[in-house]
Amino acid sequence: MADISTGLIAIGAGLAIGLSAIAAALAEQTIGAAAVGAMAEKDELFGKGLILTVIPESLVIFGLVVAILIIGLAAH
Amino acid sequence: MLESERMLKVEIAGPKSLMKETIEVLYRLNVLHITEHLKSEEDVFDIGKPLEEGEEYADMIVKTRAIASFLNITPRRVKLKKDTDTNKIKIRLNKLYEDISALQKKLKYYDKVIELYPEQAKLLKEAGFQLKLDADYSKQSHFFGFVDDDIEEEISSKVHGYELYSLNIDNVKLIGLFVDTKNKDKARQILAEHSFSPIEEEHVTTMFPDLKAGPGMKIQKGKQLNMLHKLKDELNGKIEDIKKDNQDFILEVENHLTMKVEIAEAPLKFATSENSFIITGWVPKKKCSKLESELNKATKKKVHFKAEMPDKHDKVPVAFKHPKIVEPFQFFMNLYTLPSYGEIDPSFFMFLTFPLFFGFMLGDVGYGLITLVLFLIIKRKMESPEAKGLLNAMIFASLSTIFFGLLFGEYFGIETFTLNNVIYDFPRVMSRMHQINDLLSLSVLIGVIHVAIGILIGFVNIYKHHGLKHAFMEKAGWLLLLPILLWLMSSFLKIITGPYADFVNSILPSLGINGLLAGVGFVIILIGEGTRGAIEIPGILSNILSYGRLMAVGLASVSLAAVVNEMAGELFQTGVIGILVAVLILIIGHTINIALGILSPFLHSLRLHYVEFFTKFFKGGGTRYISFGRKE
Repeated sequence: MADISTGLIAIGAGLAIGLSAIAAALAEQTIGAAAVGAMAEKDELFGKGLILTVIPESLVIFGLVVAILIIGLAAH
Repeated sequence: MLESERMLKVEIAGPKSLMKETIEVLYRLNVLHITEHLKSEEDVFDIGKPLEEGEEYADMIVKTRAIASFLNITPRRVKLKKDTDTNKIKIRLNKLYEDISALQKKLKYYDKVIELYPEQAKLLKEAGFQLKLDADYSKQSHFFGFVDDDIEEEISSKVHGYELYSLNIDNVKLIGLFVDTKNKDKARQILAEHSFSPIEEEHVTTMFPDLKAGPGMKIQKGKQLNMLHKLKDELNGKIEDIKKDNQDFILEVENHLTMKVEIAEAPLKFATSENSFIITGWVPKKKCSKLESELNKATKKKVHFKAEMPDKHDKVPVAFKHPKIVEPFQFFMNLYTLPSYGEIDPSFFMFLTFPLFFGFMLGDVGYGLITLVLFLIIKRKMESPEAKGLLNAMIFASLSTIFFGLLFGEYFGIETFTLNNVIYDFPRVMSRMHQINDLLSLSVLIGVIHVAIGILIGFVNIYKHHGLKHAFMEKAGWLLLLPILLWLMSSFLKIITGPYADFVNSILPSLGINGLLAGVGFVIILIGEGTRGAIEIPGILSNILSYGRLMAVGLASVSLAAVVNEMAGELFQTGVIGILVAVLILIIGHTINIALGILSPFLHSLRLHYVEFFTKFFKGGGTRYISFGRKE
């Protein structure tokens, strides 16, 4: 049976991922809509559109890295 | 391989009387990328006009395509015949066009009559033909039915004493015709020429009970519809015959005329004055001398030819120069932007790393085999070279997936299997499910290497265009920052752990030297790129951490597969229904996971290249080299 501190660590890791994913999603929704709009006007913008759309995705990656670091704490 | 084709800027000037010969040489050699002449206000040169015969060819090609579309022939590239007589083509084409127009009209007519057939009683009623009250219909043969055209003129010239009623329904006419019984053969002949299709007699007698002499043309009751279908089938057979006889001709002519039209319209890109023309454009260096000699031969040296190296401000078109194996990866450059002239072409690096990243993320033998088969099947169905290119790239990616699957020991997400109560482990180098930290360390290290390669390519790019000093000031600083970042990730943030951290620590110099290097790097960035560069420094860390997605996407893929397997595994022990449901879960679950497993690694691998890798060196914005000549 895990003690309460392990539970708190797990909650912390979950929050790190979940909140950063929400943030990335919020950022991507506007960019994505604009990128699709631009692509409808001009096909060649696909490459640029894709890049702009995925830029906020790094946020989740950071969240994930932080989550792994937090879980790493549990081992110590 | 790493650079695009070398180009020479070419100017061809000559008298207009030689313009056609010149264009023909250019078209045949298919090497010149013509730069369009744009007229400015004070320009003495005008935009050229198409060659005279262009209009005629354009007219012919419209007819050819109309015929092709009616006969269901898809124009495609075929071999051109050497001696094609345009006049002969024209005569045959016109004849064919007329025949086909007539057939098309007839076909439409039969379609309409067949469509109207069930409603003929109603139509006859609505037509409201008012017969003459005082006429004697006992000696008059009558014809009620459909014809395809106006017949009054013909009837009036050949038949004495007739009565004609008619009503237009789209391309069809409903008529009622009365002639003397002795004249009925003449009338029948005229009507036959107009594909007369009589209405069932019972409808006529219901409408007009006084008609005693009977119909001029008898049909068997209820057989007319079959007759119409038969006629239509005959017509379709005729069309099929025409198609068989003319398919090759049409394809050839379409190709021939396309060429002629392209040649005739070429002057639209030239600069012309009253008596002369100038063509400017680009030619690959190695093909330049051939172009010059052929031009001289065709025009007896009466056309001026000048070729020179491009200067800095020229917008030189870009032609890829790859070994065949790298070609599929051009697709990703077309999707993004072409490299500018003289810039290192990243296709080769994408060829090396795109499948690598894709495979690292999907990394499963089973999924790799399935996607491989899938891509091979789709590739066979695809015709456009663009799509084929992409699928070839994806086939590389599938092979890499199988390779990494073997390294990770994953088969449809299964890592172990039980036989006779003994658990066997698939052989592997690393388990993605259980060595998450190792996987993260590896991903980040791959990131450091990839980013470093990017910076080095950037260095070479700038070195070639602006010299060593510029290259050093812009790129060296970033390279010097990498050791301290590695230290930061291994010793401070502990993102890189275990044996990987030991490895990193063993190759890194001591912290003091690291700090010194970073300090020097920072100063170089500050001088070379100013405050903007300094602001971007944390960006490089986020770039490297972004490679953590190599681990994250892969972990998501294998976890989902494992969950599906576990759910199904439990059900397998619960009887027949359980097994059925389990199989269903396996199929649906793995299908979804494979779909995600194609989409997600594809996008993320692409993103790592476009965002993390390309930003270190790639400018892009090149225009594509499109030679004037027959399209491949």
